[in-house]
Amino acid sequence: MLKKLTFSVLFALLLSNTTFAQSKFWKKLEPDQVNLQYAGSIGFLSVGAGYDLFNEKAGLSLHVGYVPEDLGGELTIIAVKFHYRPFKIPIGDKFIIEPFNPVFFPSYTLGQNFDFKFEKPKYREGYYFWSSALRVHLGASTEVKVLSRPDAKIKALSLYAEANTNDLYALSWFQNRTSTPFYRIFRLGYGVKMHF
Amino acid sequence: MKKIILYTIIILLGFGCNSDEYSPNQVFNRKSPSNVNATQIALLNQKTASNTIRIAFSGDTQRSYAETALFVDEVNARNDIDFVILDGDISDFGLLAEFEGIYDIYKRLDVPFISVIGNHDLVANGRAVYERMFGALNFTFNFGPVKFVCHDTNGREYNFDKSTPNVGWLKSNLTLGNGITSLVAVSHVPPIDDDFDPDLRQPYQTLFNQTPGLIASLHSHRHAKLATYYQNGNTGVPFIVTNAIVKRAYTIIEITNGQINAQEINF
Repeated sequence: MLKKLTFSVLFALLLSNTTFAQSKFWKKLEPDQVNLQYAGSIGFLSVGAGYDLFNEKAGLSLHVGYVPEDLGGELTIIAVKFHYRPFKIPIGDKFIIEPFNPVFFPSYTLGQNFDFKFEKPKYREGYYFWSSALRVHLGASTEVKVLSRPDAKIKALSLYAEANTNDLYALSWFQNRTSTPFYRIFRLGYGVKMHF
Repeated sequence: MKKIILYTIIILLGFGCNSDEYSPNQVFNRKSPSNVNATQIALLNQKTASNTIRIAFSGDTQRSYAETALFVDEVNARNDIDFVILDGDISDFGLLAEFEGIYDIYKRLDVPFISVIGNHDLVANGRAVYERMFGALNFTFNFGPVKFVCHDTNGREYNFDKSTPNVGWLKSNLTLGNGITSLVAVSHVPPIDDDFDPDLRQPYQTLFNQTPGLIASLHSHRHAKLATYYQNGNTGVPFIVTNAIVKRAYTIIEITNGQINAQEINF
């Protein structure tokens, strides 16, 4: 009985110790925000987690998106976004509007139809010059941030809309720039973000 | 201030109407057309063929939307064309946005248009986009006494695995009868090109030369002045290779009593 008790106490101590260590470790890795996005060229829905950089003037986030078969053919996409947040307009003490956040993101489409590089010996060098899996996107978002109490677990909630274009759309536009309006190559996405 | 936020959201949502995109590689969206070839063939079937059939034949629209629009205006300005064939490389990168961009211009044509698969259309998800938007890669249609046998010859995209062109399918579809007295083969890559499966080059040309009623094989892909080749010397079935829309050129194909004539037009 005593043996059993000692073991239990030791086990409990050990457990609490590791949980403590773990929570410290996880605390460091815990993202500053998580988000859920609709469309925006990285999936019908995508989930993301990100970190604030340079005193919240910039941000880096990882996104995984999915398109279901009956909404556009099944696709899985991974993207890394780099945001620049130059303008913050506070409205009262409850809202912050970020009217124009430039964003850059490479996206990678998984699957056998998509290659990082068209492979030899099938194609001679430069036969198809682009990558079918890797797209490089450029765009901007507008974000409305709703602040909660500073001591709350969820510090703020934001809604955003993001317009983006990619390398191949831009290339096509450039060739047809006299006949195609620039805005036509932009595509939209909308999302919600939770800030911790 | 709540108004400002509300307006911002309304403006953003309004701007985004119908331009939400799941991926540049998605196969379709809410607005994507489907079964375009079947629809266009049905339109063609409503027309009556006169003694001479006249086709505006070209390919390789790729990224050249401005040239494509000029071509459509050019054909609409003439009143002697029965229908148009868009002979592959509709897109450059195999992206939905490209297929839709070209379709939106071609749908302004006053005459029906039939679209054939090109090598660039098979890149990335292009094959699935083409199949959903236009239909099967190998298909036939009739106009008057002529049967057009459209098929995929983009062998390099299948790593020259001897599957493409599908010789078996061709054999069973290159058939006369039921009022059909002439056959015309239509595909993107011509057999003389490096992108044609080298193992099928001879069997393909031999099949065509041995098929009764086959009067010509039409191709594009090479972006060069209209040229006609033969398997042997100057006799047998002509392999007619058109210039491209990107080069602001098309070929007028005239078929009269089983005779075919080709002439390049620049616009």
